[in-house]
Amino acid sequence: MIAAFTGTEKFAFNRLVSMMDAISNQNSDWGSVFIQTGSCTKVPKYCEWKSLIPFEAVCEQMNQADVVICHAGAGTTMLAIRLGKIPILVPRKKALGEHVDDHQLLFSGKMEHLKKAYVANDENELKILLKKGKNAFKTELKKEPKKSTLIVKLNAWMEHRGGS
Amino acid sequence: MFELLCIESHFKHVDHFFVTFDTLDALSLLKNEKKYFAHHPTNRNIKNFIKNIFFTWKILRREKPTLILSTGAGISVPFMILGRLLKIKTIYIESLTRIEELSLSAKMNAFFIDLFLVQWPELEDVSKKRFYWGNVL
Repeated sequence: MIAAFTGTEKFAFNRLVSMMDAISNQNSDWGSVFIQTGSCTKVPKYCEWKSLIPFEAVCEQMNQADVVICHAGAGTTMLAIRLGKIPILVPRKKALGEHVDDHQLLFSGKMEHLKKAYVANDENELKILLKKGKNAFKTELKKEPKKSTLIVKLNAWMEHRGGS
Repeated sequence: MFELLCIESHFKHVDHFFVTFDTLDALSLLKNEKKYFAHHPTNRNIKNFIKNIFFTWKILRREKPTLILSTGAGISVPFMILGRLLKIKTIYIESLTRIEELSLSAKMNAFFIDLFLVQWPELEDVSKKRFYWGNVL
């Protein structure tokens, strides 16, 4: 099963809808395809879809999916990673009216460099990645959460500077 | 919002409230939390920015927080500015998605932030009091 997410941005991401429709129509190797469409104006023809779903439903879809494909937003990407997935990120592009700037391009490149995600910029790149097989898109969940230096230092700052 | 919840161990044991938008994920993630919903969208939206200035003033005068912690984006601006005017401590954590360039919200807030944190070393600039202390990954 493939689960795709466009997030809750006000900008439509119809390009991802088209990509997922093509995958769903042309390739039955992965079973069903679901896409959360958000503000997209294009309606999928071949995928299961909903525009918005509660957080619990997002988690359920991600947990059940063999592959998670999503726009390169911070929340969606981090949730997929925290649920033990190595998602395929499809970055939104300013030139196509998909976001205010191209920060998702840089972010997705960073995640790819850290081996926490793959990046697909178009349908062809997505199809090539999907040939990797199911095991390429999941990772072992850590039993012990990583100690966050950010929180440790934040707490120390608060102790010295006041506020509560 | 999800980035903020990733560091909730920092604040969940003290009195706190959230300010966000009334989206489905906010409603489910914050169902047991005290919260206020701001006007949205805020991306390049002057009308909602002005409405949120009045909204922010009302919230800050009612709740009188001693600290404002934000991960952006547009809703953070009136809170950082009015928070500083009301002598409230302000912490801003730039989004994980900002690697090489600050967001517009961060640029607008910079002067009003007591502690400015970025989540990648590429954006750290100690001379401008912008620090990297790790990230939420």
